[in-house]
Amino acid sequence: MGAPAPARRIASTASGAQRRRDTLVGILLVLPAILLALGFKIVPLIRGIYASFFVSQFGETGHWAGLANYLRMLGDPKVLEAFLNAGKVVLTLPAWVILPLFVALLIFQRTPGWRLFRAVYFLPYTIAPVIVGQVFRELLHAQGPLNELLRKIGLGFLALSWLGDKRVALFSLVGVVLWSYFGLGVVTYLAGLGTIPDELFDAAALDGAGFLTRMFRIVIPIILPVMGYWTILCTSGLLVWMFPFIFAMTEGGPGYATMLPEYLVYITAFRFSELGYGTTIGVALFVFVLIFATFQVRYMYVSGTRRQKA
Amino acid sequence: MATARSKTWVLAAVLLIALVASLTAGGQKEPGAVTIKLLGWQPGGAEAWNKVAGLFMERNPGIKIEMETVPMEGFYPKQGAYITGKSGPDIMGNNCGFETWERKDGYTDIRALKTPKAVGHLLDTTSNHLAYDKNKPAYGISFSYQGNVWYYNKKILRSAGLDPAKPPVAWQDFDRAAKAIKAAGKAPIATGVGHTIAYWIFPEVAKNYWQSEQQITDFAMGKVRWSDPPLAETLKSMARMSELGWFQEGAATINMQPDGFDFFLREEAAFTPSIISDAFHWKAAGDAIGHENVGAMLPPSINLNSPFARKFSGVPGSSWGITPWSKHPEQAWAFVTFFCSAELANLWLQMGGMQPNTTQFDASINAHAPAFLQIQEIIKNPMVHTGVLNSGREVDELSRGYQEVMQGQLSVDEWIKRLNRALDESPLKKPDNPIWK
Repeated sequence: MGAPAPARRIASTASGAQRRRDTLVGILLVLPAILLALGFKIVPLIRGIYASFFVSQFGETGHWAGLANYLRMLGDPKVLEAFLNAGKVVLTLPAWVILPLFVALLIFQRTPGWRLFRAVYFLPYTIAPVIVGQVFRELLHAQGPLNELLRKIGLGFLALSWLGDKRVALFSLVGVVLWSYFGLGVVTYLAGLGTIPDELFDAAALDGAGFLTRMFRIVIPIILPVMGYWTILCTSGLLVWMFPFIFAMTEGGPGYATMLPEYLVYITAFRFSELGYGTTIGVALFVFVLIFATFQVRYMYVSGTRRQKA
Repeated sequence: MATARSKTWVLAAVLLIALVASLTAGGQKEPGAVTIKLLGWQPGGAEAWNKVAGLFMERNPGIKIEMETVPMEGFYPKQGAYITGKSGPDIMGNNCGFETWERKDGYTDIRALKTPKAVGHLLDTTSNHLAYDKNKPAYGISFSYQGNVWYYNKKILRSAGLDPAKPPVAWQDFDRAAKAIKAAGKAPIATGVGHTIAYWIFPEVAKNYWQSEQQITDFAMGKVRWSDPPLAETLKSMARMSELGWFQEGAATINMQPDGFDFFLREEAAFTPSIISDAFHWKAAGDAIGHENVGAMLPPSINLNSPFARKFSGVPGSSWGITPWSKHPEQAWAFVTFFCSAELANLWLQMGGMQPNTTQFDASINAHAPAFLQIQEIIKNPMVHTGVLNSGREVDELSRGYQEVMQGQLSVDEWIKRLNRALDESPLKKPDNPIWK
């Protein structure tokens, strides 16, 4: 038995009006976010892509060049080297994902002093990258304290020109950036670990599960979405976090050994005054990151959907 | 429910107001005062700049000077962002030659502005006229004269058994001196590899190979390729300097500014290639190790018979121009002409160690500094500074390539190829570019 027809109509009209009001409020609430995204993300992106079809110098409007910048980029050895370097940096991703996880797991055991360690690992992240770069530039210098220490303890054969030798400079740079961002990863994982109910561990302990079993059967499966999130952040971040460190430590050198696409965009646009060409390299970097991120976001989406169904 | 909905509306309204307020917020302005903003790296030091700005504001109460100071290595990103956005300071600095011409759209043609007689001569001598042509637009004037010398530490020379009164003149002499200096436990030359390579080392080696002024002009126009004899020989000789072990260990992995020069100031090297104005000059060296211990000389020559080997590579120093977006170009120009005026030459000289871009100064102010007095003799025989005739891309390749060459990780032939490519990618270095017509 439903309500009489006029009453139903009144209720329906009332709920319709409320729905419209709710929709309006919803729109108003998301409007600032949409405006900000449009103004600071979408419009600059479209403008950037548009600018990549122009040959322009500083301050000039430039002239339409069609695909000329893209064709030039394909034959530019500097661009190739920068993207090859970016590929090498991406290969270090497992270290970015696993090392903070390992440390987070150790801290999660709540061994004495864990709060101090949590703060200590996070501290480098709070230091401005340019400062970190300046400090490590001194530390890693051929005659710097690190090599001095290595020589004093009889490991002089390991005293390399960390930032000056093109065979190791890129990985030295990645090591410094990893040091700087490591704490963020640890804190991210700890946030994920904090959501695991204690009862699960108690039950596992009763069942006689050891440390490794608990890790691989309870912890990792539960924090898999956090790992996915951190992996995506690192993949895109690896290619855009590096700029201040390159700026402060190597300027892309020696030669082009630590030249990454974003730094190449900067010197092309702002040192060589070729705004259009610099933007073209920026668009290529955008596509490069997008490809990696798309795969990972899709994987997260699929695994999340699967989890919901289960 | 109703309360919750009201709260939602209030929250939405607050957010909207905050957004509108943040987008429309602006700074308070002093009524009646014109504020002139200047972007620069404060050549000569903050003390001198503050003094000059203070003097100007005293005389011009209606004008307020605000300086945005960034170190040289951070200058170009700032400047580039302003030029790209076509907004920002009223006055911006620059170095002369290609560095200015490549950024000419960030500067206005100062010939259209009213120039006081006191600095009129600067407009005639400035190298900021496009393509060095006085009939073409000029993008700024310089308050200092700049160029390259080598500084040396007399104490180290003495300890190596060398006579500080007779520093080496030829390469062979220098190589012998270098061996003695190394035997005394010091490095012969303190340096670092950044963009200073193109400005401080390249021109000093190249001048051994130029045959005529026309050839230098051709180099500026891009007619001389890096595989052509003057430039190819220059690169080979630069590589040879490293092979001979003249530089300190690890020189390829540091910048000249400040690390390389600091190495000299720590008295760990006998010589350093540097400049006469702005910074890293005779005053900086003398203040650190005692003026009586510092000497200045022309770099040793590979070919003493070359027409340019014993000349001084000189150029007007950092130059100051007015941005096209400035709303107060006349007031901005008034400040530029003030700090470039001969009236302040002695102040810049005394406080900043700047070599004035005028002859109207009192050299006796710095009579206590032998290096300064040596410089006054050296600059009497100038030539075009060929370092500033490199395009931005060439400057970059010279520096990157030299880093690798010094470590034996790049051949000179490969370096030449890279530089030829950089030349091809430099829009202004084309003989058919309108700036040369």
